[in-house]
Amino acid sequence: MTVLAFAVVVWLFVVGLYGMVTSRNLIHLVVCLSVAQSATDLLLLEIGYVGHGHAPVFVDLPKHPGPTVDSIMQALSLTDVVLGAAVSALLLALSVQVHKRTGTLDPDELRTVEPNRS
Amino acid sequence: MRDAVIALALVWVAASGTAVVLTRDPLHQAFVAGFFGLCLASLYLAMQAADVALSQLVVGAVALPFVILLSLAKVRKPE
Amino acid sequence: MIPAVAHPAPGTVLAPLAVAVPLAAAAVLAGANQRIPALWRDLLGSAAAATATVLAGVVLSQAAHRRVVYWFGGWRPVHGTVIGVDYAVDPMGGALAVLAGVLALAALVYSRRFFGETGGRYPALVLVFTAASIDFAWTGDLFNMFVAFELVAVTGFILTGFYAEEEAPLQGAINFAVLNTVGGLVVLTGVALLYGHTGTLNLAQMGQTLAGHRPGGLVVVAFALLASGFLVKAGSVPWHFWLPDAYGTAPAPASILIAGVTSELGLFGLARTWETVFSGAVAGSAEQRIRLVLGALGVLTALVGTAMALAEDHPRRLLAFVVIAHLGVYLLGFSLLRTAALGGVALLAAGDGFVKGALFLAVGIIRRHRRATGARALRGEGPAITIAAGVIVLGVLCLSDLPPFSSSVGKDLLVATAGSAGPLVEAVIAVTVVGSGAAILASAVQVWQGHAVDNPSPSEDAAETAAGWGNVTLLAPPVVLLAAALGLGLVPHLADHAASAAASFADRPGYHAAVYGAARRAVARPGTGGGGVEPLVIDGAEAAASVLAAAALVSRRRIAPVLGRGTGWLRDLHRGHLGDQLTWAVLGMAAMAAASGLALR
Repeated sequence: MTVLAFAVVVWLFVVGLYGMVTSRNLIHLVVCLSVAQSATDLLLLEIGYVGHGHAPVFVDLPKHPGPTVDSIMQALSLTDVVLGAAVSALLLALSVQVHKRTGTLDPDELRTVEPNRS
Repeated sequence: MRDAVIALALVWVAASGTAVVLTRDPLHQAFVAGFFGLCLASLYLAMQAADVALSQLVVGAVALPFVILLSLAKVRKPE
Repeated sequence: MIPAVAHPAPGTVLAPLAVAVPLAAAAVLAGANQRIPALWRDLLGSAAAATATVLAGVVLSQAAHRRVVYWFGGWRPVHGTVIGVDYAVDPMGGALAVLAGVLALAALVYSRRFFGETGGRYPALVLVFTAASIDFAWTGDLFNMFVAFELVAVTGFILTGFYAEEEAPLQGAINFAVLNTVGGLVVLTGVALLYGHTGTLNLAQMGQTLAGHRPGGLVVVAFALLASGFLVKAGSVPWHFWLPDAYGTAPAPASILIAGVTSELGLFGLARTWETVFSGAVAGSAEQRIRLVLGALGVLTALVGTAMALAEDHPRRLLAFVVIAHLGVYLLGFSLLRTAALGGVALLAAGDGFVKGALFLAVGIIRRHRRATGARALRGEGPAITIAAGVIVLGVLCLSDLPPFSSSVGKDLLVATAGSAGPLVEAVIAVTVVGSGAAILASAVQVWQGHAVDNPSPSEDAAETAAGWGNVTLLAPPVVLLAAALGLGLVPHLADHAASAAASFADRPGYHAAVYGAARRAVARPGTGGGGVEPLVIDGAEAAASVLAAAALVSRRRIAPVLGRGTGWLRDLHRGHLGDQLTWAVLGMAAMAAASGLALR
């Protein structure tokens, strides 16, 4: 179970990075970045997860409610989800600006230094 | 029982995440990304993180595809 | 149980205020945007930055006697367990906050004439950047550090991308944003692993849990992730590729924030986590090996930065490579893991921070003038241009670590404490200083004579020539920054102050005790080596050598093509391809993980 979860975390991170490195479109690249980002969210939740623990909501509980999963990690994960959304939106806006100025979204054509300059 | 649900959701997340990356056309990708967000949200729900699942639902399954579509509209608009 | 202090020192409430004031002002500015007149917006922005700087200065003066610890909401540690989030300000963090405040103030004043109408969002972004920098330098909580890290990066790349000058390649901002976001992800992964291992996010408690045990695999991986994440921001090889792209895009006032603050913050993050969290778990031969890893990275960064600075002809990309080269020197200094050397690095970074700010602003003035007038020679174009050129020449002398400037004191301190590595450190510094100084001087002379390669065409929207006396708000910031670097060097016993600040920074038990509210432990003040005549001679020789090398570069232009061919493969790596940069970043992280594994286990 835990091994599977960590494997999925690593897989998402690697796949996201692979997509970013091979991407031919900035919008595609930004979405791949968000996949890599969700790997971190999942890792945070997985670290805070307790087998058979219930959600960290402390109202209407029975006398002996048993363990809860770690709420701190959920708070961190929540922060990262929102932060990731902001970063993705910002990157998409930048990509639109790039397209407006250069007419392309292909990172291969978007060099900051021209290859043939002396 | 819950472990089985989580394991199933994990596999779904891994598969749909891969699909997001391998979908090279941004328009199609927007929809696959929305599905990926949905899978993540259900995984978080199964992992007893309801509030994270809610924000992931809003962000991953609604906001992100919406913003992608908006940028695509901006980019594809003839000058 | 460690008893909590009932009454905090009255001054500690100033620490959160230094972050809250700029944030509040930023909210007002962003909300009001166009609704208040431009003059009032500028005044409010500058006043907020000035207030933050003064508050940071007051907190710094308190921290010089005793660490300033503030618990948000009064959530102090109970029974040795930390539940709240704290600020723990030591002199190093305080000084970094003051540096950030001063540079932000300079950027805001300078922007008044530099940009046309920007609305309220621009000063708001600069203020958020400042607040996040101060937060990063002061916080005692690892996750808070990550949030500040992201906030600095996000505001940094908005400033780079959305206020870019017209003809600049905007994709530099994308490279900056993507690489720094990946760096942030890596840092967060490291934070998560450390939390999983230690069960806390507080730096002091983390260090306490790890101390005395041989680091396990998880801790090693966490260290590698945190170190490479912070070094992405600092701009060390092989994570430096975004830097020249960002500087090629960013407007001058944003450049000084990235150059003077971001790089230092990255290194500060590495130093902070090392000293508070990891140092207790590493001893003896493992420390020697990690010293070797970081030192090699520093030397490589310094050499690559210098070579690329010499081969580059775009003025702002050139300055970016100078920043990278200097960062290599700081990293080399930090890798000695000696407290006095750390003090030397801090002085170098502070002095260079002011000077690099002045250089970017002066280059911005000249660039603005040339955009209005085309590529004609600058000789005799007006007093403002002459002053800007003077700032550049003086700035280069200052980067050469000449005596009256603070960087000279820092360099002497660094070399004096390097011990057996002294000659190596001295040699790397000499190569960096001579090479980067020559590159800047040669580029400046070419622009001055009208021979520059990047001939800008006159554009209609930049009709102002920026040549006359009417540009006080443009001219004052670079001059004041240069004067600050000079003034800092004249402070009596500067080396002793820096050494004791570094000793307090590296004092892990003292940090722990202060966070837990126990009595302050005395910090042993290490003696510093006296200056003497010898360093003076070496500094003078280095400055003279960079002038001579610059003269050679300018007068014999045949050298430049040869240099260009020799570094061709290196230049090929720096063409700004995002996929390549990401590949290098990932390879670098893997190498870092392998090296830390070999070194720490």
